[in-house]
Amino acid sequence: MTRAKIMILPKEGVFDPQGEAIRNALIHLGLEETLSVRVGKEIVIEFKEADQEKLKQKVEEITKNFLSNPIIEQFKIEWEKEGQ
Amino acid sequence: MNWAIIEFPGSNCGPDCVYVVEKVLKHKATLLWHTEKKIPSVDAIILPGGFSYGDYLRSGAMAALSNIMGAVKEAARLGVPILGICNGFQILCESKLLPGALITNRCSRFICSPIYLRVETNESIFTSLFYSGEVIQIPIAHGKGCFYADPQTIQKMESEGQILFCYCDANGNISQQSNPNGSLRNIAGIRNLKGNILGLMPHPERASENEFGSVDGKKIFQSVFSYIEAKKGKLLPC
Repeated sequence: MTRAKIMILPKEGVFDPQGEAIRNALIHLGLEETLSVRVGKEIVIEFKEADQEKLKQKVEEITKNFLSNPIIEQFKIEWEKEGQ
Repeated sequence: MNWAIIEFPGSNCGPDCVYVVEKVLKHKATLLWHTEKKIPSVDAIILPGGFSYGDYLRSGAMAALSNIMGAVKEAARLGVPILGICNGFQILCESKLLPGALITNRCSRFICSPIYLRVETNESIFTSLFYSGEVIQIPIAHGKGCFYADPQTIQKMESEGQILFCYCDANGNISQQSNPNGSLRNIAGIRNLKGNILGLMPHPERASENEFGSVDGKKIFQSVFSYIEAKKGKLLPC
């Protein structure tokens, strides 16, 4: 079984109010070293056996066009094989 | 005039739009569910506000994949006036029918409040009954209404006259103080390049009767009506 871990974060330059609120909270909790916090989402998808090359292409495409919005977000995909 | 009003799971402003169309404007309203693949012959389309699909993934992202959005895209191509209000605006951006994106308000809070808007130009289907520079009042009710686009897109929108409404103060001044949600350039409402699609975060259907303190929203619907009547060769209403 193959697993894709898609990490989506607000793009640099896009204000992230949630990240800013957490940054303030971290400083309040004593983590004065905090410079910035950005909050995103992780989408984990498990796949049945398939042609890996085609699957990666399809996931990349769908992540660009649906799971993330390239106007405001950036993404990174990590692939895992069951047992790894 | 016949208005199609499209509802998605989680839309909650459809009935208000139906009320304004039928009771205030005395026009016909055709309520359509998102599963429909075709839109019957109508003069204009409204995508009302709400929280389609619970704002899952991103506001408007799931609704953009609905069956009916194929028909909305076709209507857009044919030049049918389309008005996306609040979540409707978010759906239009996610459908790539309008530029930019709407993200969480800079203050992180949901804001429900009357607000001043400046009409940037009356040279559009949606603003023809206003004066350019007119200050109007229409309420907002959103948590994710902060308009964002890259600088090149904003510049192009400005030069093409696509910015129709901006947040301002009572005197029409556009500043950071008069910007409720952090939108770039205080943007509250934009149109597409072709000019037949409006995305608007404020709710014109909540400013269409004197009892609500403002009838400025009604003039947006009436502007569309004027356009439709003019196209049919009828006289423009006052």
